[in-house]
Amino acid sequence: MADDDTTELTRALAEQSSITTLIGKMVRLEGVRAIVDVGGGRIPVTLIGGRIPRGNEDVHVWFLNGKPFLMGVSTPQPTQGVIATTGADVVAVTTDQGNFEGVPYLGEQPSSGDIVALAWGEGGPVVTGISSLTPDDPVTPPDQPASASQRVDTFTATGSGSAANGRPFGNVNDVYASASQIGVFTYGSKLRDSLAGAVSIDKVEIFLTAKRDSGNLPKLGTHPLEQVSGVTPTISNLRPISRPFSRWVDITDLGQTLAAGGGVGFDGAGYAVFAGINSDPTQAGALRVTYTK
Amino acid sequence: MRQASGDLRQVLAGGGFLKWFTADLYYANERRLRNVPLFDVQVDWDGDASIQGSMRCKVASTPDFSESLSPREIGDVFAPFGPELALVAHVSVGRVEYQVPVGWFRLVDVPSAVDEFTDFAGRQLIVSTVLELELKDRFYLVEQNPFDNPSAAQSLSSVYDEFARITGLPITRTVPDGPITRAVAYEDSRLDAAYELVDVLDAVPHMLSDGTTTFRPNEWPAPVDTVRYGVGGTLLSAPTGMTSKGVYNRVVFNGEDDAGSPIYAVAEILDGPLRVREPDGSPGPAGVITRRLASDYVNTQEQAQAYVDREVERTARIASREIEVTETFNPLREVGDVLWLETQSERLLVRVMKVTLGADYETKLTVVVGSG
Repeated sequence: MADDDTTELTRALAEQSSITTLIGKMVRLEGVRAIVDVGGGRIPVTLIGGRIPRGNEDVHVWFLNGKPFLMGVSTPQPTQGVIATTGADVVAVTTDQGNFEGVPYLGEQPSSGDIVALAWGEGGPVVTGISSLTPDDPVTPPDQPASASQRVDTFTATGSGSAANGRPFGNVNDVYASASQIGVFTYGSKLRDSLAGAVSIDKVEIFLTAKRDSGNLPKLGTHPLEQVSGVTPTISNLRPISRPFSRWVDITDLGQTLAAGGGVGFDGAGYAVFAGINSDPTQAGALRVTYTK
Repeated sequence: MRQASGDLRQVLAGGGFLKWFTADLYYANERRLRNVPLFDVQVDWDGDASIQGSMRCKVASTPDFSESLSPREIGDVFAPFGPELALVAHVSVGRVEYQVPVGWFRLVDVPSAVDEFTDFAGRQLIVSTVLELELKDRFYLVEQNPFDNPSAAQSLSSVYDEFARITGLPITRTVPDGPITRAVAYEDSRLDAAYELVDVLDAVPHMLSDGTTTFRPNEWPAPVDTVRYGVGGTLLSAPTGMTSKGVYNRVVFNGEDDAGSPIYAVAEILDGPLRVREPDGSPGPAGVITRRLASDYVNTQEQAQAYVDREVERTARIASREIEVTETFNPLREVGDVLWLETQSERLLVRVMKVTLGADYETKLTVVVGSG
């Protein structure tokens, strides 16, 4: 390519261009070009303004359409510091970005505790003067507020089943609520995974479809299972739910318990049967949770 | 592999079943329609795409009151602004019917909606509506909502939490969580940022059939099934091929550490037919095929070396073979499943990269071959 640098830069801006950014180590200056080690290679790079980096300084090398430019030094260079100690013709300076030893100074020798201005040249930092007063601490923008927003997610049940109290689950997929049977909906780990770290759980509803409804009101509660396996669990936090049963039932007060894991189950009272996931895979036992996270 | 009872897996292996698709239509977390029969269904998953799941289907309805299902305005049932289909595959043998939730898909496009009319008592009545639908999985939502301003992680403690924060998707945790190595500026695409974030855990975002998102490990998990010919087998065809695409014998990483110093790491394959060079230093038979990597999440030399070692080992172990497997209908196959593939001549460990479920009784898989 015989284009001059300006043409290259203009083309880089005007057309769809390729930009590769690398970090390299300055080796030396050769003519007007910097020799820089990038990865395993040693390349000549066009300098852009500013001061010339010292040997072994880390520098940004950008390739614009295949042409390398040295964009500057990649380590921060503080321009203000506090004198830590003074020696013969040199001082040690403490800055926000680290300590610098053996720094020469211009003009009179500063003393310990002086706030000084630093300039950076090819030989490293130089103390250029002593500040007449202590500058105010810089004002930083306030921290970004935590971005919590309200969401609604429907968590479908991934398992359902029933068995006699204390017995292993068998082939029954529907969810029984009766004096002798325990029925459960399970959700895997997605409830606790998704609700972890929620600021608040504002509403929890479960969708139930009653296939049979007789006798006393069925009692709903929580259990620790995440899959339908093993024997029936103990159902905690039991409360009766009111008729009709085929609807979204509000169980917001169980939100924190469900957010810690487990699922929903039934134990005791009359004789009600709720559709399991084989009858209605997308919505039987689905939990609709409104939460802020 | 989607979850299913052992009975269903036997039925699918045995053949001789009927299958069809239905969907439930959800709008704003409410079910508007249930068990909508679908026909000409085709569902595709591509593990290399950013929106991995897509689906096309047709819906036919015969209205009771001569109303049309054709979308005319935003807010109509089938208008492509918000409705989601929960796709269910039904498999039945005799009186037993299994329902397999396949996935949640957002309605993106309704390319054609045709109402059929008939004359009745001097009036025109709609007797049927046929809709063509195009849908994509929930990553589409993330893709549609780029960042307002460049932003970065507020907490570096958990990849899962940060993923959930930037995508807004419900999640199921599978691969172990880990800390984020450093705050990286996200610009523009939320989905790209999410994919790069999950790469910290050596995994890829993955949509589960219940509509939650999980991470699929790049490391191959244990095989979940065997696909073979013959009695009790489901394999129909598996023509094999080879490509040099995506095979590397040298991986290079360039980056920057927290102090602003360069990080450079190289890993090479030094033995086997893909070796970079001969023992005497001359080039190897396959030549040097270099892959260049960069990631802002790598901030130490050790991490960079582990990263390139892992990647070069993977490209060496996973041979250059892609096989287009056709097997009998199986709605349980997922991208990322590791299977044993028994052809007439070979027994191969393979990983599923693409899945197509169609209206016919076939499932098409594109698999890559690992060690045999």
